[in-house]
Amino acid sequence: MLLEIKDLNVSYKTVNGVASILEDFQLQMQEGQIVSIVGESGSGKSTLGQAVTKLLPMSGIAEGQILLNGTNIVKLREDQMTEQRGTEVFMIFQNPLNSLNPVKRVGSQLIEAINIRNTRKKENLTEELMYEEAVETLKIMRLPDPDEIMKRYPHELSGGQVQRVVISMAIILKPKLLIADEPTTALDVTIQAQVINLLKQLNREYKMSIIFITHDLSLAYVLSDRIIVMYAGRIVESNPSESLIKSPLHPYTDGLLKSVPTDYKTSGTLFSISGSPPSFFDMPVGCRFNLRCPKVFEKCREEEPKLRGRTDGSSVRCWLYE
Amino acid sequence: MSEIFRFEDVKKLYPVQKKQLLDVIFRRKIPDVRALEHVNLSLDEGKILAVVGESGSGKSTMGKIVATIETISGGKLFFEGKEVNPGNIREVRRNVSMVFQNPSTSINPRMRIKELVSEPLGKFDEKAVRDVLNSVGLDYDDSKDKQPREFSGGQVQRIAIARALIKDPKLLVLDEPTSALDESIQAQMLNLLISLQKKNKLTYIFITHNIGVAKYISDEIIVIYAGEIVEYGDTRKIIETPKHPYTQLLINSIPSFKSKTVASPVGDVPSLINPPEGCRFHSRCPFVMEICKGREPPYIDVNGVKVKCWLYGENGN
Repeated sequence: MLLEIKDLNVSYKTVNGVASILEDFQLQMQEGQIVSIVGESGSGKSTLGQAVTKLLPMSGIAEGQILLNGTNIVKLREDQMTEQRGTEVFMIFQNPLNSLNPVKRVGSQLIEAINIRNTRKKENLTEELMYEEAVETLKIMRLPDPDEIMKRYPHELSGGQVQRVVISMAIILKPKLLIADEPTTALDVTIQAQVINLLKQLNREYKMSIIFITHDLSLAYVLSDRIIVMYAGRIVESNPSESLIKSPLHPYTDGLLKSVPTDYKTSGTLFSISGSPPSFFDMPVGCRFNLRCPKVFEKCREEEPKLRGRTDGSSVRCWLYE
Repeated sequence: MSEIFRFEDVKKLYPVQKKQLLDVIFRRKIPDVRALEHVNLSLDEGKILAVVGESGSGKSTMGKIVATIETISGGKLFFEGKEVNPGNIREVRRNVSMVFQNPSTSINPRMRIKELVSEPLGKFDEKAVRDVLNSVGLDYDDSKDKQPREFSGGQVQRIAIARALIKDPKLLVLDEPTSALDESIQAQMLNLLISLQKKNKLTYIFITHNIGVAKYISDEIIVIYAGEIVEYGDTRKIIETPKHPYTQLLINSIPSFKSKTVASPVGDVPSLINPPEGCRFHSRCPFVMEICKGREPPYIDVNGVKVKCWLYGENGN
């Protein structure tokens, strides 16, 4: 087991009191797996990524267990966590410019990453070898003129190029777990396709496990083995990607799948989930989806269902399956 | 059906930087970004035209030209058969409205809803505001005194649409109106836009990078690449049998529930300051030929769809 998250709760202290963002989160991940976390904005999906890398804002409090190779990340001190970041767990953000230093050249930042791996794994590489490796990785990323790119500053590259530089850092550090938080949202579809294929390649060649956070179900389907759907801070469904698309269990997943436009308008009105997601300060009683659910009944308004595992390896949080 | 808008060889250039004193003294030429060139198209009343392309391809520039926010650097622009000039630009603006991608940055956060929506009229007309808010699914009495921050993203976009509709325009330019919204809200918005279009007999220019949305909402599609239209025609024909290699790549690179693979084209969009010779797509094209590198292809009519590609030459291929 590479990553095991048990009963994770994350809350934020705010002026209006404590807001509980992520509740009762469970995840088990084997080496080499790709898991996608899908949800709307405010569903807690990015908070999850920040909790695993211990990058929560100062006001964030994480409780529960996040076991990465047996080490509980929640209990680690900051200096111990620094040792884990990079070679054990690596995070890619939506805006790649945030992950690079704007006043250092791309080349020196890549070499810095190689140097970190060099010291941690005691490889004793010379500076020439490090430079060569950096250029080689940029070539794997199919960046044109790698020698030229090494001399540039991050702002001189396009969005897609910067994202590829960040991914080449992941190739250099070879983390066991890669967390990608909406890495393609700011990119064009053709560049998005390149990034997706690169992530697949990393997974295949280096057995890298990936947690892919996205709001796009079709993207999650293309990339991952398992999809976890989140709504208002909770897992509502976890299912292998094939069966999640073909036979979704939770009404929310079903609604999301139907509301993706795939046909012409002559085929009729698009299905849409009514209403909008609830605020964290004003959660409905009972199931958090009950105000928007087409299959709502008495019990949903009274008590919140628990996430129940099913025999086929899926789990769902819904009274319909009790 | 009558024509509402026509572009004749329209082009738009932006200077890379402002002309400064030294540039004037030494008569230095400021290079231009060729944002949009050789645009020829006409749009009939009551149609929805989708404009798709990557970022930097010039699709938003096209929307701004239609909404007369930007002036053209060359060519001619016609609205309802009359050429747009400074004399009749107010008339055009009365009939054309624009909705932007991010509603929370395109409307004044300190104004109340009733002021925001009635602002384009120049005076407050309670009945008009009530009707238009009603048509986008908001309750007037409930929302009139609130500020935009009290609404969710989807609701603010509805307010932006109400604001665009209050002058009763004929043409609406929608620049990525659903991209900033959540999946479940996007479907509500598309349904609303289609029902408004039918009810008010509107014409839409719908700018998007999402082919799924373009396929659903539009009657006709324009595919733009590096400032030029590469394919233009009926939505169904373009989606089912894309002709231009770029359109094919664009459609194949979209993730779908049908296949677990996406095709990834190589390379980036070229610089528009010095666009490549010949066809602008030749450096990324899988079917590139010798002629593509030297000569720019003309628009060729293939089965009712206009394609800018040498693959469909005189030999009738």
